[in-house]
Amino acid sequence: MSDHLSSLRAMQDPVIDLTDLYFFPVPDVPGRLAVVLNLFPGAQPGAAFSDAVLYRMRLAPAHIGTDAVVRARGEDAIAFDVTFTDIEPDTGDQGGALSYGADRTVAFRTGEKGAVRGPEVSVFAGLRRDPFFMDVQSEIRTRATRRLAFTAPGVDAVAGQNVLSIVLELDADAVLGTARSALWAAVGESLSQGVPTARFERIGRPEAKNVLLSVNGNDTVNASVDLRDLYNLDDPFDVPPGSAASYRARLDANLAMFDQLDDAVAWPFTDDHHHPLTEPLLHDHLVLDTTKPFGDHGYLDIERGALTGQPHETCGGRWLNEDVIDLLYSVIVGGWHGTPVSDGVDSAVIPATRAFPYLAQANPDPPVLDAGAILAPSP
Amino acid sequence: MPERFLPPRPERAHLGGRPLPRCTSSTIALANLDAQIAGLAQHYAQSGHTAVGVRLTNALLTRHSITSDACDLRAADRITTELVSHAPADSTAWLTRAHMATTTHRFAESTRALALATHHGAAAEDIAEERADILEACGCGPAALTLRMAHGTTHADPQQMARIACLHVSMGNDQPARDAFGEALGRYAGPSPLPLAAILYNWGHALQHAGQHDRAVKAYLAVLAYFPTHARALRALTE
Repeated sequence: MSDHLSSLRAMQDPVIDLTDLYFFPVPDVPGRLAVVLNLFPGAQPGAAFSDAVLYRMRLAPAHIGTDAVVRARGEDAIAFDVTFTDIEPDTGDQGGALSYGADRTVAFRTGEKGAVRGPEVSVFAGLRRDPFFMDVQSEIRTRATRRLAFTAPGVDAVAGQNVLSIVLELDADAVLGTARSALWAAVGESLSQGVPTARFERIGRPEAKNVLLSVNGNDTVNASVDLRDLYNLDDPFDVPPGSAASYRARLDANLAMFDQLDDAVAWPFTDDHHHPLTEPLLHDHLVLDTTKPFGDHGYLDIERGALTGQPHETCGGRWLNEDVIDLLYSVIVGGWHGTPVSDGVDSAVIPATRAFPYLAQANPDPPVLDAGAILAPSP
Repeated sequence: MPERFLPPRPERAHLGGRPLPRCTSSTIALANLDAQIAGLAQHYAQSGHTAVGVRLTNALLTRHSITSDACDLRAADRITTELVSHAPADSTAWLTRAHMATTTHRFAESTRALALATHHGAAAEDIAEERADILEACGCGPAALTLRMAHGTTHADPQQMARIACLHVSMGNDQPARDAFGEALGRYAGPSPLPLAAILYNWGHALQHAGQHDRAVKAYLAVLAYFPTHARALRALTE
């Protein structure tokens, strides 16, 4: 389920559990970009951000290497750090601070009334509808049975759920300096406050941990190791080589399994015995072309362009209403131009809007998130 | 990465000169727990699902460990009674019932519930964990320690290490106790104050029973640094 409940540690404390990251050009407003970092799966009304956690989004100029992999370097990144105060007894909301660049700070408060709109940066934080949608049980059954087990229609496991959301909107030129690069990579992190910081979670693409790195009995190198807590510890822009080797083995094994789900091989391994998607996916970030306008569809398009040599036509990144599960499964099962795969869930119950802060208002009566099967490894 | 602007927060708590982890404020932690309980209670009332009831029971017992509110204990008792009544072949229902009974020191009932949990296929580690709790509460420290050491699959888990430290205290093994407790604190990495408060309170409780009152007071004060209204720590300090 995207990045919800994506490690044992995150299960124990939802304030560190990042659920999704989105990165897109602001619709109808050229030159502005939006980054959305969601956390706290299944948040109930009254849920609050931690005042001991640093919520960080980092944007870094990206480039396509000679190996067709999109890369970005941490040393080039601009960090957007968001922290919160304790709950105010009088109002029940929280103070927030967004820090970025050398010395820029924006104070805000949680909730719609506490959002700050500015020419350089706008920021919102608070409880909203979870925009993610997916038939989780059918996806788990697909991995367990090694057969596509989706139905039409599917059952949206996220329907009606809320999350805590941090929404940034920024003037790309003023804040990033778009002359530095057309392509920008985005990652999200939850970290401890203080020095040194410890990373609780990191997030780039949806389903990097819960699906692509899941334990499925395919990976003979790390046969039964849940890699997700280890994965979360890494700097997403600077993954240690030893860890990367473990993830590479797992991705190679799992991607080969996904490719076999339709009994056809769309992804022959490379001459050096790796799945062609392994290296691009190891660089786990969203990639956006800031020179292109907003579009409803763009997820993985820049990675596709890099790998196929046919330049991307969309902005890439990830829009809130994009059906990333259909896209991911279509690509890993059938290749870029194979038969589309659908999980039978095509949109959120209440989709996001095209206006800041984008996510629909929170559900006052959300269902309980069924966490039972999500962490359990497939046989 | 340079240190940036952070909202002001109270200084970190200390125990024996050692800085303790910086955690989410008690107000936020309890607000999130309250919100979770409210949602679970509503859906348990509607659905009666065992999994929801188990989560609700655990959340209620967690809140009770801080507030000592008898309402939470009564609600958890009622729910676990319903769970085993509605799902008599479900091992998690019986395990949760056993945990509830252990919490309220009804050890005979807890033992019976564990036997049924075993009969219905509960994992050996879960049974051993609950049995160790019973043995510890009954003063059988060596047996509890043996069981924890034999079945503990998560010795690196700070809460598990802290439980072992408390057993060492009760058995007079001062240095192993200090070592295990220091290791538990050193490994505590999350921002939630709830498990940490339990670790510190149980440590204080074990020290108090071992006659080490000064050290027990320091542990209780550390609990209050995270939860100023922690009822049992406050009560222990006034006894």
